[in-house]
Amino acid sequence: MNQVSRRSIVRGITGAAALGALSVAGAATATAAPSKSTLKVLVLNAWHGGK
Amino acid sequence: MIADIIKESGASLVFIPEANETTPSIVAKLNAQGLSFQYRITGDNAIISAHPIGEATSLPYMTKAVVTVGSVEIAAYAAHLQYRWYATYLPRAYGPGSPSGEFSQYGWNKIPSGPVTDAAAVDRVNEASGRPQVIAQFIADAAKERDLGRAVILGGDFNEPSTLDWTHRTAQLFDHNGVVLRWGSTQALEDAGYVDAYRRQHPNPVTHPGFTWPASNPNSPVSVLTWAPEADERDRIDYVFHHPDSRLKLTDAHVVGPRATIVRNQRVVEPGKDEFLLADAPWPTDHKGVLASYTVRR
Repeated sequence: MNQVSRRSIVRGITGAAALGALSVAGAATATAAPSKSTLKVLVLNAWHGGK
Repeated sequence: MIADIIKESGASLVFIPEANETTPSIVAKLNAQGLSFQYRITGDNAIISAHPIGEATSLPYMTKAVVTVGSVEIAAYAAHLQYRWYATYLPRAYGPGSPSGEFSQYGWNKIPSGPVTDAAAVDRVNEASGRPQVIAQFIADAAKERDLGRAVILGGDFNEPSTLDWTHRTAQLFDHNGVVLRWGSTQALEDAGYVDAYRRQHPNPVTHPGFTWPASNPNSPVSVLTWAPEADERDRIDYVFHHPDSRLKLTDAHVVGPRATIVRNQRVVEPGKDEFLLADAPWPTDHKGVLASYTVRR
């Protein structure tokens, strides 16, 4: 469900660029590599972005 | 909280409807713990991936990105379909929240004359939502991806029950009030050969209903979690689908989140045989999640 009207604006944010900025700001460097033979897919509605 | 749920679930590909502005902070929290996720967003659908991910493409009500697992390219689609024209409320004697057309005069309120049990009427309202048309567009787009040699996975909040759940077996359960319906969106996926991961692993909708909405979020009052307070409004509306592919083998599927739900304005524990992952985790949303596990091989 959804309690807000859908927005028609497509933001097209790309995570890589944002994460690059975070890295510059001093966020921890990610090192863990995912498995190349297993895939776990999670669907979770965040209810307005969650917390 | 969502970052904690992603981490604890072990998910490496996450579809987040209603992602809004918090996705960057969710990914930052994951990566601050030594993980390596990236995200893509269009509209309110985010894809978060620990696997290499390409640029996002916006489709109606969906975000698409190609994720590479090992050497296998997967066209990943995150969906959040129209929430109005919520036709599953009609047999529960509630308005479907349609802004126009049949039954729109009831808004989201109770229908004084009682449940609408004419399956054709329910189907008309569902079709008016545009959800089945969105899925038809997805099927066409995904066919092109498959022609390019990619596997296809679709996940999201459909705001529509499954054609595999509203059957004769459940006709007198969960306030279906005798309605048996081939729900348009999931029926189209079924007809196109797509596999509903949860229902494939748990084929009995009576013993394993797998309801994903509403979730009894202990941090929220019941009044904001229920939209049909005098009904049993439980449905499975969040899904993971894949197209059959020799490189993808479905190994498991679970509901993620609290075992408790809301029925007739009360918090109750689900009596079915569904297994719930992270059932005791702090919970941030009114939905439960779905986790589907695959082995991937070239």
